Amino acid sequence: MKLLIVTSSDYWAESLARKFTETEEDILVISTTNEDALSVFLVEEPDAVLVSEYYEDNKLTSDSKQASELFKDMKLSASVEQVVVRSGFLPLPYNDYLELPLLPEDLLELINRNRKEENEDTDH
Amino acid sequence: MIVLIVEDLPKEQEKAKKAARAVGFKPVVAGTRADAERIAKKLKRQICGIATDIHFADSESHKTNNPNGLSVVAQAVKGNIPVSVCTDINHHFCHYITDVLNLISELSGYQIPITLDSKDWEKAMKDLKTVIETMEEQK
Repeated sequence: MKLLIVTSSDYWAESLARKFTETEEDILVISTTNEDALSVFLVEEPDAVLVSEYYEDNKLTSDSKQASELFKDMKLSASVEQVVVRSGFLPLPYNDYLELPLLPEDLLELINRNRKEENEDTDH
Repeated sequence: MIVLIVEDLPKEQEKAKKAARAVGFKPVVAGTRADAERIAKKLKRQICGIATDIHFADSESHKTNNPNGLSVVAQAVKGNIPVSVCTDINHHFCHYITDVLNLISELSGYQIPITLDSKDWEKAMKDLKTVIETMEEQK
């Protein structure tokens, strides 16, 4: 599986990517910052995307606004085979959301669950 | 080749993406005029073409369906980006759109394919690909 991790900074991206290199799963992790993420998503065509630092707030910072816009853009543009999930520091009630800090196994479980749900939606 | 699809209806978005991929495009989708503008600014010259509906909202905060596709076409022509229109407007009652598009096409020298009556995304994407290839040959 090719996994794209999107964050607000290179340091945070690398730190998250490192967590996955320590798992036994066969995962190729690509990380990028919000600024380049849409372009990387379109060119690399990952199987799954994690948009981290996702917020919903009227007082959005530029980074968190970018993250919520990116999530929307990627979700709309994804193929039926691609899964786009999100994470952030606040508890939000979405099936495709994980509260930070996240564990690799929790993220993989979230991706698999969402892939299954999207396939079921497509079948109907 | 990345193409921008501007369409607000989820079912049509799926059809448009499928049709785009069938001719070798990598689609990115916007549901409003404001999102289309934001994505176009972000991806800049990576966007090789645009396929747009005509009636959709300006932004998520101004949801009235107006002919915002005309703005998308105008911006595409201004930015020298090939553009194709795909809409289900009855061809008998849409002079307010076809006259404007034909005039933009005539004044700019741009070929703007228009699909009317039903949203035939396969035709719109094939037409867009032809325009992109034609413009590439003319460079």
